[in-house]
Amino acid sequence: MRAQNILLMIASYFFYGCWDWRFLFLLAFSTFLDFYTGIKIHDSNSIRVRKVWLIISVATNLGFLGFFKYYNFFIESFERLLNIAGSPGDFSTLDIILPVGISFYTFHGLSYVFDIYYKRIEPRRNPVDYALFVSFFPLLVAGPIERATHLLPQVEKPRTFNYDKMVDGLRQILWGLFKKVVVADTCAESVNAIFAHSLELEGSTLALAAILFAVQIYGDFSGYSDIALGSARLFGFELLRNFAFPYFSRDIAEFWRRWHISLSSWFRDYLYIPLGGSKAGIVRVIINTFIIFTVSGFWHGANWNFIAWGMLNAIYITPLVLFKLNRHNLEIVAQGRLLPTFKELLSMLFTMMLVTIGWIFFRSGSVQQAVHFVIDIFKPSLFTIPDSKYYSHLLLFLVPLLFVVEWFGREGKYALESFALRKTRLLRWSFYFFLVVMVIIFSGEEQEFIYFQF
Amino acid sequence: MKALLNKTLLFVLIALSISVLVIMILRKTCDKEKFFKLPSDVQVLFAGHSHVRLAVNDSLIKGAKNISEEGEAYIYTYQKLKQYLAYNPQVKYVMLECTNNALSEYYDSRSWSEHFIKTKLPDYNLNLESEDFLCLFRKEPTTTLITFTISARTQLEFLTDTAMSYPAYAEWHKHRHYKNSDVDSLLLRPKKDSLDRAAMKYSEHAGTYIRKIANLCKIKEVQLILMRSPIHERWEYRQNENMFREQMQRQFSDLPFLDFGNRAFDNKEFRDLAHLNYLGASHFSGILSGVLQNIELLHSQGYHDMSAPADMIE
Repeated sequence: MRAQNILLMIASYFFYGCWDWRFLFLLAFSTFLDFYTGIKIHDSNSIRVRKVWLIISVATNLGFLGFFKYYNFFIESFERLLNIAGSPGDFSTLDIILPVGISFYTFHGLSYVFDIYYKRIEPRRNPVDYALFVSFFPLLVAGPIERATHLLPQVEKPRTFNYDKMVDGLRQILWGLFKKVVVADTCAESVNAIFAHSLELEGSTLALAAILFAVQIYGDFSGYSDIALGSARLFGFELLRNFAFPYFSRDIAEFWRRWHISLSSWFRDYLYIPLGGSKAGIVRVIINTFIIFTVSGFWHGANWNFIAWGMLNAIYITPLVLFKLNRHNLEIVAQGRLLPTFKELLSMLFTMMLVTIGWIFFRSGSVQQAVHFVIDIFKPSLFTIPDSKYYSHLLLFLVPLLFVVEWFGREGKYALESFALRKTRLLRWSFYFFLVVMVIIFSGEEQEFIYFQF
Repeated sequence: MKALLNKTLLFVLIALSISVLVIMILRKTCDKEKFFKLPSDVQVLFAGHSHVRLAVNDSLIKGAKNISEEGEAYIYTYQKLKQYLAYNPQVKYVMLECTNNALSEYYDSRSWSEHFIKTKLPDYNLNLESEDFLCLFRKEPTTTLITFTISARTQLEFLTDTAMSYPAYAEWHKHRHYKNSDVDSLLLRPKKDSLDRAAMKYSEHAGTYIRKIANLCKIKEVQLILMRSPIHERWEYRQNENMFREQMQRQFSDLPFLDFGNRAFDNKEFRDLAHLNYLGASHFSGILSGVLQNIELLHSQGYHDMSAPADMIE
């Protein structure tokens, strides 16, 4: 087990170093800091001293994150504020490279330190085990954001070969590759072209871009998560589930329980609940909801459009929280049935529409562009046929295929899981071959994962 | 473990075989005529890189078609001409751009850098000769293979979209015009003292493919004419002018060469120091129109003349 962990840790550091070896030191320092402060917090009997170590860890981690990710944003925003106030602010920004995955491994480390502080777990004394928990390569660059309570016990147990788990891991990787390489990247070509010419295009073409971006970001990020979870399974690890068919949600609260689950639950456990959650008074609940969504938006990127995206989602969800309707749809839609009811279908479409409008803010370069984009969608030209110059006709086949497979697999952990149990071998293998061929044919034009930039 | 490895290996082998088969079938279904067939009155093709793409407004020249593209090395021009000449027996002349940069080793990276292989090769790899394939494969093996998947995907795209309206192809092979001129601001910049060594050296690779183009034209009974479009006197690659002239004389003295490189064009007719803008293109296309009207006569007289270029034939 010890040798397994050492090998995996070295492999993970090598993997990260392939991108930029200089940032290995930052990763190692962040790991050491949380490992050390975790022990210090645990070993101290004084509440004050425990708090001081916690503050050191949180401040240092967020300090690094703030510098690398948000320094220029704060400088530019401050400068703009001074200009509005009539004072000529002239501060220089820095040419900073954002270390890949810093938002993710910072949150891994913070969850570990918080859990020790709140006495949910004991600190680890083996630095290799802890370093592997932080740097495990499938989740290092774009999550899922793991919890110490979930992953560390797996790190500490010996792992043996399991045929079924290996096959299941490979199957999930294949489906993730299809979602990313075939669907998301094909959508990306159209989305990029349309957003680049958004001022001159018709409402219907803009609406199409918004829908395609919703598909793209899902295929891109959930595809990555499938690849990460599948790869981890090959090594005997079960990572946290990150997506649970979010576009089949019947309301926005359900959507947020199914989208980027590891981040949503992180904010819920380490921010929302400590702030009082939904147990406080009405005003406090509204404030807490806005805080969590604004911070979540800001976590995604140092730009006002991400903050606007977070706040828009807070506006969507607040009525549900206030009227206690946010936990109405806990189970997957149409469980045990082939098709949804008409009411369920309408609810899903309405939720999808709200989410898609939100994605416009996420994708746009600025809040201004997003607002223009949304207004321009609702022009009379919304009812014309989208400009065929801007989309690949293959999408008319690929997008429905994605949704059909996901619909039929929605009761499993991922779309193809139940597929493996029900179908004959011939049908199964034929479908797998189809996926592989599509992945190979579509692999020429590579697009980076959207979440690598966060 | 063994069972898994065996099954995975079997799966990968079958999947790869199916992929190759699918790519081959897609190649067979490719209707190349759709891309390369030109109107029957087109008798002159202008080929080469950005200089000619910006300099020749083919809508102003009767019976001409500008098929050049930015950054196009001769290996790709050769592939392109193979297709165009196969589908257009009416073509009589190919005007091939030969400029100081394209004839130097500096331009070789346009043949085999990852970016250029990916953007240029997929359009032509359906008919690649083994020698050309190996030339690129030796330099960039993975990217060269990947282009087969790119062209298969493009073909899949065209099978579902008969309008051929996909953005990348909307601008396929035609004159590009620029409105503005940056020359005045460029001239204010300090002059570059020396070029990279590669830019001063003749490229055997470029020479090989110009010769291949010449042989192809000979087989197709098409007259190949080398040409240099107008370039500004301050253009940095003029520093290799001696090498350029010497090699043009040594390597291609059997081919006619129309040199407009030293023609006086106004600063406002240039987009930058290497390219004409729309004003310059209109002016230059007018000149070319006159040249092409007299070309039969000139052809019979022979006109490989480096020192007193182009003017004499207008």
